[in-house]
Amino acid sequence: MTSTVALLSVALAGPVNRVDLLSAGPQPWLLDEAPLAAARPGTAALRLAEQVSVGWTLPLEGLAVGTSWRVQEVRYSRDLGDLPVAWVVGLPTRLLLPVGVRAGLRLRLGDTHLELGAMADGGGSWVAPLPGPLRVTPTLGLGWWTDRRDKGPADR
Amino acid sequence: MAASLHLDEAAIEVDVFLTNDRVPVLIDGPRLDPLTCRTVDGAELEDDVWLLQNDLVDLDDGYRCGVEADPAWPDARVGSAPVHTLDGLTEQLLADPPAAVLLDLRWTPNVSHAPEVFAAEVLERWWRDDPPTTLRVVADRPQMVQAIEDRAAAAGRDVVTLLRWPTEPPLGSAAGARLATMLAADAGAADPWHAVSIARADGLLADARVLRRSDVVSRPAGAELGLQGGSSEHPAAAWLDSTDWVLDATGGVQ
Repeated sequence: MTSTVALLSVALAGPVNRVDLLSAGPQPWLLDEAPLAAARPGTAALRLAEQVSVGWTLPLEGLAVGTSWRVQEVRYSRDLGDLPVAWVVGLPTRLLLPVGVRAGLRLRLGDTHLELGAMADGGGSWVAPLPGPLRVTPTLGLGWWTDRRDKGPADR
Repeated sequence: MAASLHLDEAAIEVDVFLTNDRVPVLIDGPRLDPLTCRTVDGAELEDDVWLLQNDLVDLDDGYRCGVEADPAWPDARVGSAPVHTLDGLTEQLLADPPAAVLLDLRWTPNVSHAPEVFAAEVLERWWRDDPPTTLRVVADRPQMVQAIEDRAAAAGRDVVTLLRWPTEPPLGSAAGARLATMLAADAGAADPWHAVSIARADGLLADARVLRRSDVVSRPAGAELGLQGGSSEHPAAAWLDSTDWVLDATGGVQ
């Protein structure tokens, strides 16, 4: 219920501005699930869908929220000068419980974007909130912008 | 019996259920499986045959069970033998024990004896013969695991208990339950090791179709992990460490 209210608030605060087919978040699909796709294709397909993230702008410049079945993330980004590149930091949560931090660089390529970075993930969930062993993984994000009127910063 | 249970394997897994007169038999649920069991006359089962409504003698007199036809096992036949008992298994194990035996207690709410009765009948019979092999016990539900732990503690024995993940539904769709558990766990609303902790189990028997890498990473120190439904060639087996094991589709443990 709390997460529903939070997501509704976010949705009302700003429009959807991006969709990530591959999310640069914890438990990266490419690293964890893709290698098993041949052995368990149904699970791999479901988990691919679970990590598809919808990005929402917030009133504060540079601040945005990404929401997927798996992760809800607050992120902040700033452009690097006039380059089509921005640095990004994010606080991924699971049902709004913070589970780690991530940082990366995002490259805008027309309507699409590519994000490379690293994620420190301690795990945890509301049913078992204490973090486990820290796991550092590379991240790769890939998606497209849905709002072409948004000319910059690269992601709000 | 030795051949049908693959006792030549290094380790084996067998399903156990209780008859009405509390005899542990090697059946994988509360009913005889109509695909593998027949009446003594060779007829297909027309109605459900509940173990809780039948004594062992009723099963012996009325039914024969086997396995579905499998090209890998030319001798496999439906309805070929009387229902095997746990006593019969332990007798076999005394003569030729594998390194480890996994007893899968198929206790099911509402159609089983109480977990405490289930635990007592299985463990006391096992300890009576006490075959020289490592015993692990797996169960779907916390109350069954707790009953095993309590019985073992009362007897001053140590039994390794494992909780199956995801829990299989008593009589409904296993695929549906697996999907629901996976969605809940992936969203952060369920956690296998939390379930193990609640059940007071020693470890987890995880379905290879569902196990996440993060579940392996977040394993508590000393907890045992088995992978079910795969093989040592399954890519998820690469996440396991040397003390873990894989339960393959034939009931062998690798």
